[in-house]
Amino acid sequence: MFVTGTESVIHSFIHSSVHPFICTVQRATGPYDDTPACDTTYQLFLQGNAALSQPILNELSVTIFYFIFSRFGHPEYKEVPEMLLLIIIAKCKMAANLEQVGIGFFRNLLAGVEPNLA
Amino acid sequence: MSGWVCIDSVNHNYNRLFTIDPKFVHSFLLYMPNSGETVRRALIRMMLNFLYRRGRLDVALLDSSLGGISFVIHLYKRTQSCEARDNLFMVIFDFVVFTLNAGGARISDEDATLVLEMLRAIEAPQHFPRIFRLLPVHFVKCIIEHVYPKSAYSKPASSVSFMPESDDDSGTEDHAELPILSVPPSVSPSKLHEPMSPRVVLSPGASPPKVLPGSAATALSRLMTNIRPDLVTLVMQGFEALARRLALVRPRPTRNSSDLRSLTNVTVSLVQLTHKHQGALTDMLTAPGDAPIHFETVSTLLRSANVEDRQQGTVRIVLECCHALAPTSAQLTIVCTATMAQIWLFELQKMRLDGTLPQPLITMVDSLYHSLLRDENPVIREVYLDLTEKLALHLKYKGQDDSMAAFLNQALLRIVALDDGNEMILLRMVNCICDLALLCKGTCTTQATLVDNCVCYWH
Repeated sequence: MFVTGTESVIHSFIHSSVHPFICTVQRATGPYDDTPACDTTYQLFLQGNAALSQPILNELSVTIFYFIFSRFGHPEYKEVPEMLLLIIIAKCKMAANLEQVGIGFFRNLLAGVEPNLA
Repeated sequence: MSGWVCIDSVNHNYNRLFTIDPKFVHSFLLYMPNSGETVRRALIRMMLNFLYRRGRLDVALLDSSLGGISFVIHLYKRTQSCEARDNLFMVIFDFVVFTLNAGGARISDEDATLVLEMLRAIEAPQHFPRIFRLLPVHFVKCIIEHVYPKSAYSKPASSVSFMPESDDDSGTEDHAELPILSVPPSVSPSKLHEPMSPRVVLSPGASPPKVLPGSAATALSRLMTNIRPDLVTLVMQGFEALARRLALVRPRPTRNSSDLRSLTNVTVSLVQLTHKHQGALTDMLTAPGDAPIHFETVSTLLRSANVEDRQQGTVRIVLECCHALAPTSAQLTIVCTATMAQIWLFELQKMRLDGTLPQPLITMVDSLYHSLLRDENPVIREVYLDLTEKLALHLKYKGQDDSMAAFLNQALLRIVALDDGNEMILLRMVNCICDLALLCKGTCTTQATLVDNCVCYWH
């Protein structure tokens, strides 16, 4: 990052006096590089950093998650299918849910074009 | 408000940003609803750089070029990005403080910062979108229950236990354990603000069970009500007024609650008419081309590029049906916006869930509600999801988590049955589930450190 002399002084001042109390001033190489991509609920959930209510997930039918997973294709939300798949896998630990989805669903994933899902 | 420094201010592109008109940012956000969270997050960051260019919230710029506070709340309700939610929450908070001060409240920057940090400590920016979707009756109590739902206490999950505190110190209540999240350092520094107190990272199984002196919810409640109660109450009232004014009846302020009661009374008479004309209402909604309503007008509205027009189309369907059944009722003219129609339908459905809706009305209300889902226009089908989410929140606020989940399950299964593959509908379904099921995020302070942090702030 290019920092002029004045900006450097201001930056030092902020870091030494304001930063500990108020905010984070981050050095960045680009205008949008200073925040990691992992920022949404889905991404945090995939990383294990967001907790979803298990009773609510248990109550919701596996058919709903399976339906969304099979139809969803939004190019800007590639992490949503991954999140849904994790939920489906968790729900399919119950035999009844696994029967609804079918083991063929998981076999087909292995042959899919999405390496992260496979 | 003090406490605001935008991270892009140290970036060499910072000054170049101000060479463009802020209305561009507003337009991009308004007309690119399908853009991903990364793009939206960057645009929101740019918007904030404009708003805080002079160090404080520029309310004049917000109103003149960036769509006003209602647009900010609209974005806040829709975005899923943690950083964007944090940033927009700050704008809303500063706007509340500005409004209160304009009314003579005299909240100092220091006081406002303290309240802000307390709200951030309970992950309020992440949970307040629910508040703005449907304002709970007991506002402060519901904030706490949102952040620490009872379901989180029900199942042992990890190594830190909480001892729910009772007022009489009887000690008869069971210990409840809370899930503990491990927070990697890579996740935390992504926001404009960082908490003033250090974050504590707890790893599952890293230490023996630690019994805390009382429940975080109780302790936090006491903090919020006992320490500077006037200030906290003031800010909460500000939020409540703002949410009620903007989130529920944004296009046109509601007149008073008696309007809804009047409308409900009208609805009762409509149902009587409906019974005389068997299935008339349902026919109109499912086969509007054959119905004696001005469907050309409705059809034009529904095809419009303007969101407000499409919403007007939604309400026209309802209104035209009502007018066809009760053309002489002057009271119907009070319903002029899509939002009012949604509130009306929501109120009726809420009564249905509460078991207070008269029996003759149930069929009609259900018919209206589910007819939204069968509409060709995805915008109208989204109204169904809006209402579903509000009704689920209504049950959640009442503490009926099981009923809420069952209701949500039934509503979503209806969409599955209709095989609706619209991308935005699917995304809304996912967001609805995530928002309602979200307990806490690892990027913020864990429940175990919450009380200590608050005490640290306030003393």
